[in-house]
Amino acid sequence: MNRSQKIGELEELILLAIGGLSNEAYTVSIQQLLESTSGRVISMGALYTSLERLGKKGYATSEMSKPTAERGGKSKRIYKVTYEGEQILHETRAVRDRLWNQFKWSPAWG
Amino acid sequence: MGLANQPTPPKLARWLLSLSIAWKFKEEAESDLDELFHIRCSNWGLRYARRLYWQDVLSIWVRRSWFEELEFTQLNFFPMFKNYLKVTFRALKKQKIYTFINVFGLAIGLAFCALIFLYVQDELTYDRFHENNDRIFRIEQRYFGTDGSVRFDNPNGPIPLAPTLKQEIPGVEAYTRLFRRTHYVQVDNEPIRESVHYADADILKMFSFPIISGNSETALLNVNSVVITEEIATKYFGKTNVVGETLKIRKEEDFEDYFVTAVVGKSPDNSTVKFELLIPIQGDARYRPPYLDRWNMNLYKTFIMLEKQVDAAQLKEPLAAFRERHNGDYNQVLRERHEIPENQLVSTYHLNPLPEIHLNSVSDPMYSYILSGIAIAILLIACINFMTLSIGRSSRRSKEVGMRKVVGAFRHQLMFQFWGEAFLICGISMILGVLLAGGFLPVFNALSGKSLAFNYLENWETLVALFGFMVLTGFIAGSYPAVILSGFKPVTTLKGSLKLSGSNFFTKSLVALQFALSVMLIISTLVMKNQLQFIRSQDLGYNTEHVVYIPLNRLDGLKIANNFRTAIGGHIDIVDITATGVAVGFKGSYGYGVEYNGESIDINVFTVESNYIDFMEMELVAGRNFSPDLATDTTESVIITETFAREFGLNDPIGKQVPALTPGKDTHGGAIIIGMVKDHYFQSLYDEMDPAFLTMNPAWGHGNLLIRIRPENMQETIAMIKDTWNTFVPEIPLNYRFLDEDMYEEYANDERWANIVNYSSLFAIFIACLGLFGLVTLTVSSRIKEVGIRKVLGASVLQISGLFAKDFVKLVAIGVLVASPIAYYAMNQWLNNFAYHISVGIIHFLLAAIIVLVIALSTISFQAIKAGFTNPAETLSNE
Repeated sequence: MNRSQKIGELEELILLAIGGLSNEAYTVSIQQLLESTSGRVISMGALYTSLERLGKKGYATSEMSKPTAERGGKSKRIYKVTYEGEQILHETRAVRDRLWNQFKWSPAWG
Repeated sequence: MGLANQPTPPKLARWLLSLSIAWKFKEEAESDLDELFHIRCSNWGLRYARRLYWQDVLSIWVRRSWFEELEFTQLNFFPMFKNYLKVTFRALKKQKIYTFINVFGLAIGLAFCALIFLYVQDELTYDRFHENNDRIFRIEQRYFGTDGSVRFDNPNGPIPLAPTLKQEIPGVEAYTRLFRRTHYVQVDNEPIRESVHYADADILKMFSFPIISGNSETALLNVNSVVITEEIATKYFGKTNVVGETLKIRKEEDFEDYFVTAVVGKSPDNSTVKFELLIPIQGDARYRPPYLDRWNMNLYKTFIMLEKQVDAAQLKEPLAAFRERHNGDYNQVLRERHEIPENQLVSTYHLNPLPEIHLNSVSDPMYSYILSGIAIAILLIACINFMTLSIGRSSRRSKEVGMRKVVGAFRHQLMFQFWGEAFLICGISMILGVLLAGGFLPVFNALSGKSLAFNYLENWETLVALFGFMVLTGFIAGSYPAVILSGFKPVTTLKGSLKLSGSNFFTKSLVALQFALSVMLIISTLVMKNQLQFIRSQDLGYNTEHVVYIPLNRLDGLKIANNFRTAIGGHIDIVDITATGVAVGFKGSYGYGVEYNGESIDINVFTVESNYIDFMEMELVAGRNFSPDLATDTTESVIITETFAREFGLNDPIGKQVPALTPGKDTHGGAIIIGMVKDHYFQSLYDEMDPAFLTMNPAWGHGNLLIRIRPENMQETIAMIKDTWNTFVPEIPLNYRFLDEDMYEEYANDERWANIVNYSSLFAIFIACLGLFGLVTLTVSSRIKEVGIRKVLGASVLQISGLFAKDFVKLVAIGVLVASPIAYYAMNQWLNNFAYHISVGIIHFLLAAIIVLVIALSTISFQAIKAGFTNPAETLSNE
């Protein structure tokens, strides 16, 4: 797995959402979580594309669940964050923390 | 969930989503979106849910096609593409006959389309290059019938029309009157006959003729100025920079000096107004009193240019009032004659917009439709070849399809492959077609009477159209293999249980359609040729063979005829000489339009000499001929035609006065009828025969000289006539034609159409036969074992050949049946152009059927007979 793969902002959010939903992370719940936490309506097209990329980069895996009654007897694809996925989240967070720590807050804005 | 009254997502969006064939997330996406829809529905309401559903579907569509699919097939996309190409080229190379039939057929079809696109484009863009085309109009006199419908439009108008219009109707910016005459033109060399246009000075301001040198504003102000085209400048002066030079024009009896004030470039061919030499209208012989303010003499065409903000529709009523003001008397006459109610218009001045003049009154848009129809028919025939041959070969390709599917090809990939193949072949055909079209262009120009040119750099529409034709053809031609072949189940194709030997219903109807199209064109060709032959062989009632026809252009015909008679009249090769006003055989002779017993009748007048009836070999049916010795015959006697007697109800015409003409007022009024000639077709056969009479009265001029010569020593005789001419009329060179040649020029237009249809039908039947040949080859090869067994069981060569021929003959017969009624209808429409015409008979259909059958049979026969002669041992041994 290529470790130097970059991760975009939306991908990061999605990855975090997957982690937060643990075993219940599938497309609809991810979309709903992001919508309720960030207020952003993420289109399904964008979501599928990002999930596909995350899979390609090796940060997330997916497997089909057993068919459930709530989806009319159809199964859903449950996503999980991989080891590499967690690593990249750490890395991103670390970069941000470092930058946060250096940030000189302007007194003028309170 | 799943309750009947549950809100549902938008159907269209759902369908759009379901179209995402072979996409990894397809199934999921459908249920995901449904779930989201219901959540949103209960949280935010139906409208919001539906809007977001759409948004999601669209976002999926946009992203999926560009990213996912490529990534999805990234591993083998390009190598597969290479493989498709390789397989395609292998198939093309392996089956050279089919490749040739397909490529060549499509190339011809596309070449036709390209040519006809040029033609139609030329027709539709007529006059568009004039910058002011949207505000230039031709003023025409429009006459209405009793029921208020348009009876006819007369494009000519009276002399004072344009200036008066400018004075009385606000919004007219400029005008020009236009009139054409033929004059001799001379610089230093021999005089040459040229067509000279008379116009008002504003013509150069209104129309966008490219001025090369000189000032367009002042070019026509002086009555002795002339504007010429580059061509004329080069022809007479050998250079184009000729402003200020002198040119002699013989308007009347003598040559007058004209000064070149401007030189213009050649006007495009698709311009209604064209000229070679242009002189001020003030110089015309009729442009003088009393004609200057006569409103009842329609002579000049009148064009006006409106001011920019003026709406032509608003001028309708002012123009009607204007017409009533100036042509009120005539309106009254017409109102009574045609019993037009008081509240209706009798006539008006009508504005015909410049860009529409060509299609409205010069050319018939029907021609464009017919040509497009022919091109589409030929392209369709070629497309059908492609399809039927694909179907015929599909048993081979179906194995490939099965194999590809087994190793994991999706249906859309196969569709991509097959359509790609079709587009590739179309692309090759297109290139070939463009080359062919370039080669055909001179022939096509000659046939259609245009001078078109392919100019790919300037005329980008041609390129777009060609590309469009290619895509469309590829789409249609490739649709069968792409849609049907790609849908085969691998199991059936690989097991070989699929039956596809080119004998299914679809193929049969396609082949029948091809032959129907070909037969239609062939029937049309036969009928058109037959009608034109009918015209040529029609007994006109006079003899036009070996008659030299010399237009005299205002010379005294009687004097010249007498001079000629004295000089060469006795020569053995000269049969007879006569001078006449109008030569027979032309539309629009001179004459009267009269009122008689409530009917309006056109009378044609032929000004002749006493030997005319003998000269033309007409037959005198009653009374006596003109006598050169009787002085009264010159002015007071006429000889009428049978139609004349019939139309005017004269049972015993001899000795009576000419009816409907007033003595003293009309030139021929009061003349006595001394004889009657048998009816003869002095007009073209497009028109019903009008009444006519012959007179020796020289008042209307003897403007033509006719000399009948003997067919022997024609060269020497013509040379002798030329010498004689030069002794009597040294200032003007001899200009002669043969009467019969000239007469058929009337029919040149229809000759051209007959030729176009003729060539088209040749190509159509040729392409159809190419396809037939391919198809029969396929059928024979797929049934070769059957043939072997039949032979073993005792079938003869003839029986075997008949086996194959029978099927195709049936299809051709169906084609003939389908085509006949359509061709019958179309040809009757065309024949109605002629007042005298043949009728479409069973013979035409039979002949077309026989021609097509013979051609089809001979196409089939080679393969069918070959099949009959195959040695069963060879075909059956390899199993």
